[in-house]
Amino acid sequence: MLQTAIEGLAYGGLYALLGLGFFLTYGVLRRIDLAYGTVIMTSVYLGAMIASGLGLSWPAVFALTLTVGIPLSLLVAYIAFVLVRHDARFSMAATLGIWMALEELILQSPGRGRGQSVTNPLQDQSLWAWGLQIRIDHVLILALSLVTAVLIARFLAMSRVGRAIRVSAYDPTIAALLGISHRRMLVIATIIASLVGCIAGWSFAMAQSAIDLHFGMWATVKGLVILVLGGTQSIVFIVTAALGLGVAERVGSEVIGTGYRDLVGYGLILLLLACEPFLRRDESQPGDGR
Amino acid sequence: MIDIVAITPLFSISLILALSCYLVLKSGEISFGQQAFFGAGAYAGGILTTMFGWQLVPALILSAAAGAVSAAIIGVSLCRVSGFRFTLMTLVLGEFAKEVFVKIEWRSVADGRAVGPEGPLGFSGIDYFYNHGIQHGMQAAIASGLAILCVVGVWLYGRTDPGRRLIAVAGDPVLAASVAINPIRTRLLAFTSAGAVAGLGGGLFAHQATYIEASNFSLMVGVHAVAYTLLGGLASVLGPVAGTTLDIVFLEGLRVVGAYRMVAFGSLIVLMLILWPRGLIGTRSGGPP
Amino acid sequence: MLHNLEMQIHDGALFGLVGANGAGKTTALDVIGGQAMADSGSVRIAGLDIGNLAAWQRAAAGVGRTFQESRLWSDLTVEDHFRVARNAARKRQCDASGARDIGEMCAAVELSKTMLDRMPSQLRLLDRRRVELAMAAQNASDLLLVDEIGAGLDVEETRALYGLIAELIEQRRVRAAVLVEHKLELLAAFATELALIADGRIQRRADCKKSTQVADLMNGMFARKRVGTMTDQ
Repeated sequence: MLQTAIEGLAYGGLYALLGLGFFLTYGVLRRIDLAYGTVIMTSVYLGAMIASGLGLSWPAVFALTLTVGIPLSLLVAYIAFVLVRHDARFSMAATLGIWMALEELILQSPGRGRGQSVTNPLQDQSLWAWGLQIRIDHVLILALSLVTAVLIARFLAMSRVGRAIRVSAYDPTIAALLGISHRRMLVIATIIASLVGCIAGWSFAMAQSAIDLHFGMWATVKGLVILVLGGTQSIVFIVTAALGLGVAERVGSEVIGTGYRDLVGYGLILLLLACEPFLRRDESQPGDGR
Repeated sequence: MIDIVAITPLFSISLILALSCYLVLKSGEISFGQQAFFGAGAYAGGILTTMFGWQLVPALILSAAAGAVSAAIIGVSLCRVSGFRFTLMTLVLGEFAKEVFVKIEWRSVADGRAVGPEGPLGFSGIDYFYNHGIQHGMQAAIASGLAILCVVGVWLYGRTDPGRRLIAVAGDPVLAASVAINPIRTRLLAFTSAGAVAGLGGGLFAHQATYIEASNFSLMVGVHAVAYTLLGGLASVLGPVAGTTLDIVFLEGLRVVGAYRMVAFGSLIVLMLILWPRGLIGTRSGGPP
Repeated sequence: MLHNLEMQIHDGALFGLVGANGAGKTTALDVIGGQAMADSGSVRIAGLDIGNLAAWQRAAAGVGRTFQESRLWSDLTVEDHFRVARNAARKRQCDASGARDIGEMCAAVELSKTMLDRMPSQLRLLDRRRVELAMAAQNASDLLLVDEIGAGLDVEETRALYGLIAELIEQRRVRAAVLVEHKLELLAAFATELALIADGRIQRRADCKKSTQVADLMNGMFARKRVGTMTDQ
């Protein structure tokens, strides 16, 4: 049981990274990038494909992932959030179109959408502690996620750019008055979100020793769920929600049976979301005018 | 050229699901979960005709009812939220429903054959059309008939008080409340109707496909239906018709772009949203929906 | 922000609420109409506490309102606007104070029937205001809240609209109305009583039958204005 919980923490770490990616884009722009997971998947997939074609090892996969991922994310952000101006729903719909197109491109790529293997140098290496077998790569993923989360939190809280991003998120009008360029903030937030996503996608691929088409939708759904569970206020909540969900899913599925993991996971989230409007105090509607 | 008999059922089913999304979009929300009600209708309809020997028409009515009831249950909570939360909740709902469909296992014997959904193995042998000697031409006629029924139904919905109230609530909720319109009830009614439409489409799909499984009701199915509607525009019920036609007839039927259909379709959506955000069929008054 | 705001609106009253920008006039209407919730205090109508009801329930209980900025649904025709307002109101109305049909709704606000099939974007502001007034009045069997209906209109047009509201009260379609306005002179001609609001409180009241009170209130308003400008500088 404890062992499962620790495994769950590693997945929670991944969820945290994905949640942070959404936290950044939604935080700055109040817009949802549904293509986020697919862009990550595409980057890792292409990275793995090129690396295996050239006979390169895992660090090269990461480098290639970033080389594809960051420009691709910027392109998506430009198309969906700059070219599509109307409102947040339209931008979201545009990311949907990008998602479809990218998935199909991967299907039509030389890899044909089949799983691309990624060598895992730490495969089958485990730590023994308190009679528990713990995979080293799981520990590393967890550590990597927590470090990333702390770095992002420090960045947002301490640095000038980080503060500018938060002002921009709080009120774009005020940000503009303070001379903060919304578009610049978009670029910075997109790059960070993409970086975080690439780390998540790459470590996931390493842990699974492979990456396939399904990762895209999976990552998007999990990241959005974390954003909703953790809220849009604080990184601490995001990380807590992510770790909690990771552990709850693994432990829950061990208790109820592996086949029911997703059923229980989604069921719980749905239940939480469905109860929330009734628990909330009737908030006053915004008045008009002054 | 294009094989009308082969493509009509696919077109009709896609259109019915798109109409369901259209109704939800009219309330100002995006749902990525209509495939859940579509699936509920498919399983309900399939079970009724294969396991209980029902006729098609009552089975389809029950399919629509299954969609409506499940939509109403989730709608009680869903219609109190909006925007991003609404979309996300429908997305989780869709994934949850898919997991439920995997678990539906209910076997019985009818006419000396074992029938019923087999959990992860799917639900095969929904042979109503075959058993009743309904040929492909007739199947296409049934499918298009139901699609026309739904188009007319959704069109009429927009011309009655509940439809006008829905536009009012979506357009300006504060103004709507100030003339005594109950926003939750208005949206719940629309959402339930959308569930019924999706359920009906699902019932049709089960009989058309003869085999269904959970992956038939994945997120991509719901996403497509939304995309059809956005592509066509929200101004009138012709929007989803136009959007569905574009994808099914031109990209799928005529294979204009070969294997790259989804690439073309996805790019088309993006292009439309940039250049022509009101969709193929523009609105009367202008402005975003 | 409002503090200890207390208003009593009697049957047949045309209650004029005046004050500078930001004094809390619109907020007062929001609290009565349910567009905003008060942190404490109550809103009663004919003895019934509606303070905890949602905006649509208050409308159903007989409170109608118009908004400061012109608000209509851009996707519905004028006729659809009237239908929506009438049918929502009709369901619960037993005293049938509202207009029975769309023609009557037009007549009540002197709107030409040729406007019925137009979209709001095709109307001039005065006609938009008429439509808004007709919709609000349909629900406002007990209380009509009118927020600067003359904003953007000239004095004559505003006067015509106030005339319509006075007529609605005279015909007992609306039992009482609260009119928010900053053009005090205009309002004084129609209102039965006036109240000056500043910093979220009622500062002065005046019975419009007593011209000295009205003059006092006007002086008060201008005095505050001068103080305001002085402190601003």
